[in-house]
Parts: sequence; structure tokens; C-alpha cells
Amino acid sequence: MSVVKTHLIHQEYRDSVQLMRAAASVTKEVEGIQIASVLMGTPKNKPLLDEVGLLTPEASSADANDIVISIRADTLAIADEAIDFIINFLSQTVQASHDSTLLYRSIRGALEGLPDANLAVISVPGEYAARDSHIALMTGLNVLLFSDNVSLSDEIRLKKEAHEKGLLLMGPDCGTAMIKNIGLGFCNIVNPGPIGIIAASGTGTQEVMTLCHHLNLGVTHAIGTGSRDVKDSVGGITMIDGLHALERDSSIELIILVSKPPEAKTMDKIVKEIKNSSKPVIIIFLGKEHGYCDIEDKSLTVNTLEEAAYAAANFFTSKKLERSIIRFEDEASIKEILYDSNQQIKPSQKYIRGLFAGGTFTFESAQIIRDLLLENEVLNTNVHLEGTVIIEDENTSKGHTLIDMGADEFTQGKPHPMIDQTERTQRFLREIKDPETAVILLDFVLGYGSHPDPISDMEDAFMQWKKIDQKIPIIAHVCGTQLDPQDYNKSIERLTDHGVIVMPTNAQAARLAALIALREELNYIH
Amino acid sequence: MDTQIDKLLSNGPKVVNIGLHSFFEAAKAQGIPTVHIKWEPPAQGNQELLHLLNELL
Repeated sequence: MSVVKTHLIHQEYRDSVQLMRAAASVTKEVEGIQIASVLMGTPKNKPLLDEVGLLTPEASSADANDIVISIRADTLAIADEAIDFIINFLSQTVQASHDSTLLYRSIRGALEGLPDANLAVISVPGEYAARDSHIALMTGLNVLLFSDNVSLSDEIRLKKEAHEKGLLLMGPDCGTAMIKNIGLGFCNIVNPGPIGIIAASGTGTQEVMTLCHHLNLGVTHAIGTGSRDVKDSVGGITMIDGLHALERDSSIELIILVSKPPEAKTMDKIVKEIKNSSKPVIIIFLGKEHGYCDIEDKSLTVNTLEEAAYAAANFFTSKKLERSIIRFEDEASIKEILYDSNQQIKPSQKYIRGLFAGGTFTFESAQIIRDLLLENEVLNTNVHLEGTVIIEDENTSKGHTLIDMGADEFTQGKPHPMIDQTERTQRFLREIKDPETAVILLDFVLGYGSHPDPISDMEDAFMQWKKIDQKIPIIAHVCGTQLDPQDYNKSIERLTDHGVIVMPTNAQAARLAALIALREELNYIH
Repeated sequence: MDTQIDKLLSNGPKVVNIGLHSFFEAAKAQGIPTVHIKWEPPAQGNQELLHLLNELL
């Protein structure tokens, strides 16, 4: 038995994070809810309601400025309680955030309040983002375009416009940036210092900057380009403009470039720029084997995010650009973990199951695990990487499976796992009951923008994991620093207290998971 | 001569935030000058009217 109830709040626009927090909160707080959805009544959102049977005539009648609260619950009384909860939740968030700055209605108006503004951070729904970016560029502002779903043609037009005006356009889909040590979007806080990053990957940037921090290095800028910047149709406009800007900035001594491999013409262009660069550059084009642009004292290519950070540490010690390969920081304890897991896991437990919040963490893990698996073994994933197989059904693991749970197919109308881990927790509970699961890989991303306490979201699930008969090691990596708003040390401590094995880098976590699943001993890995 | 990008990197960000309120909160928490725009879909989400407005830009 279930009932569906809709409630509209007319002419009250709220951003998607506020609405999704309300939906996630009511699901946790009110018992008997089957589905809770809180969305704006935009043409894009209505099909999402339709898919789950919540597009009532009332929901259909909503316009883009109406909040649509849709509940499927066991009883009408529960649905009413849930709606009241959400109305109350939303009214509290507006009171908490209410101050005079909310009065600005336009970019031009806002510039009267902050005449020396130099950056517009734009995170409106994608279909409106190009318009606002254009207005920002017209008024002389650099732009961080966080929104996704911006068309490629709009991206090209906006980047050309920015370039001609001597402005920077980071994005679209730029999740992470740092300017003069201030984090923007989803960003960790790290020590300031002489490293500048240019990256087409949000979590890739976060991993490199936090690892640099833990190696006692400092990062001052991280310029996000958006993932399509290195397509030939865009031509790396932001990457090259960013590279030039970091070269001109006298506080920067070393540049780290993080991206998927550029398309052919853009690759040639970027390599040419690097050859002419006045500063040393460490390059990681994820998925591309190193060696394509190694020039003594000028540039070094590496394979993983951790190698980029280690190479940076090397550079500041020796002033040389050299690859530094570390399989594990603490090999003795890894040997122990491998011994214990070999004793505990049963022969039927064969497969790695990776449930990731970060797209680049999924990709890097896939790259590492693919190279360690035996030739006849298949790695299923929802990220595109040569030598792996795209999973048939992303909701059902099959064999070795790595899933980016922040991918579009999981986040349509639902919060990203860096904000809320309800979906990932449910998936985790399924994986621990699967007799074929040998080891589970998880990532936790701290920093501004992310969940205020991501470990707490999964603690009930960890309690259940401890109760089941089947012993499954869980390997986690926490991407963060002691300067982040979440408590980094405490986060690791809480995971360890639960029995989770916490690794210092995503790459080492992936390597360990592969060794456990393969019942390898440390000596076998090269 | 310094470009607007150079000035951004040397002076640090002074932010006009348009969209997610949490990014405004994060900017304030880090102590940088920032203002937030109370954004809502232009032309009340009417795509045809929006297209006409865009033509005027």
C-alpha cells in the first residue's frame, strides 16, 4: 500500500542543493516514506518525477519558479507529516541564510555592492548558465562556471569571448578551483606555496593538492578548465591561458597539469606550450602511459595523481624532475593486512567492489586495478577506460566492479554522493551481502562544498557490516587536510575504529584492494 | 601590462556568487569579499521569452 501526495510552494526559487538536502533529511527523519522528491517545477525536472510515478496533475501544473514537493509514503498521514517537515526545513534554511546580500537580483546590481569584484561563480541550472556567464564577461568579470549541461557551442563561444577580453573562464562543469589559496566550489584547504595546478578534473585536483599538502608542499592556485577544454573543438583555451597566467605569476615555481588525454591537435598545442614554458611542468594525462613529454629540467609525465605529488616533493628537494614510484608508504603493515585478509576471506569471495563519490578516483582506481588483474579477468565500470568493460547495469555489480556514483545516471534529480550518501550506503549494504564480494573500496572527500561529516552518513552501514558472518575488508581513502572544515584526523580515526583500512592515497587504496582480491603477497607486485 | 587574470591571481578572488547558496557561505567562511545574487529563472522559466531576451543581450 502506498499513497502519493504533491504540494507546491509557488514562486519561491531555491537552489538544487537546498532542495536535495531537504529531501535527504526527510527520508532520514520521517519513517514510512518510500520516495521523497523536492524539485523546482522546470521542464527538465518533470520527466524525472514521471519516471518514478510522482508526476501528478498538480506537479504537472507547476512552473519553473514553483517548488514541487512529492512524497510516496505508506499512509496519507505520513505523507502529510513529510510535507510539513520539508516546508519547515526550507523555511529554516532561508532564515539561517537571510542577510542584506540576498537583495541583489542581477550581476550589474551586485557590482554596486562589490565594485571591485573580479570573479563570478556561477552554479545556476545549465540551461541558464551560458547567459549569466556572458553577462559576467561583458561586465569584466572572470568566471568560474560550476554548472554542467552547458552546450559545447556555448562553451566555445564563451571561452573565445573570455580569451579576447583577457579574462579567465573556468569550466563549464568546473567542480574545483583555488585562487590565491581560497577554495572555490568543492575544494580542500591546503597550505599556500609555490605550486600552481591546472586541471580538467575536480577530484583529481583535490587529490593532488591534498597530497602535496601532506608532503609539506603548498599550493596557491588551482585553475579548473572543465573536462571538454582539451577537445580539439575547444582547443585547450582555458588550459593554455591558465598556463600562461601561472608562468607570469612570480609566486609559482612549479606547475602541475591534470587532465584526461587531450585530443590530437590540442595535445600538440599543449606539448608545444610546455616546451616553451619558463617554469617546470609535471603532467598527468590520466589513462595515458607516461613518457610522451619528458624533457630534462622542463617537464615530466607521470601515471597517477600520487606520483604527481611525489614528483613535486622530489623537485623541491633536489630541483630535479624525476619520477618517484612508491607502491605503499608502509609496506610492513600492508603485508600484515594481506596475511589477515587471506586468512579471513572465503574462496567464493573473488571480486573487488568500488563505490566512489569522485569520478577521477574511479578512473584512477580502474587504471591501477586493470593493470594488476590477471589477463583473463574483466573489470566492469561506468567510466570509459581502455581495457575495461562498460557495465551492463550500473545498479548491479558483476565480477570486479568500480562505480562512479557521482555520474549523471545516479544524480538526475538526486544529490551527488559528495553531498549525500544515501544511494551509496544502500549500494554498500547490497555489496556486503553478496557472497562474491572480496573487498570494498570507498572514497571520502572532505573540503568546502562536501558533506559536513561524510563518515556519519555511512556509520549505520558499517555497524551492519560488522554484524554479518562474511568477512569483507573495506579499504577507504579520505581526500582532505587538517585545514578543511570537516575534522580530517577524526574522520580517519572513526573509520579506523570501525575496522575500515584507511590508505593515504587513492592509488594505494586501489592497489591494496587488487592484492586482496587476487590473494597476492606484496612481493608479487612490480 | 597585467591582464584581468593576473589581477585575479595576485589580488585574490572577490566573488559575485550566482546559484548555490552554499558556495556563498563557503566564500564568506574563508573571509573573502563576496555578494550573493538571489537568482531565479529569467522570464519565469519561459524558454521562448528567454530566447527573445537573449537576443537583446
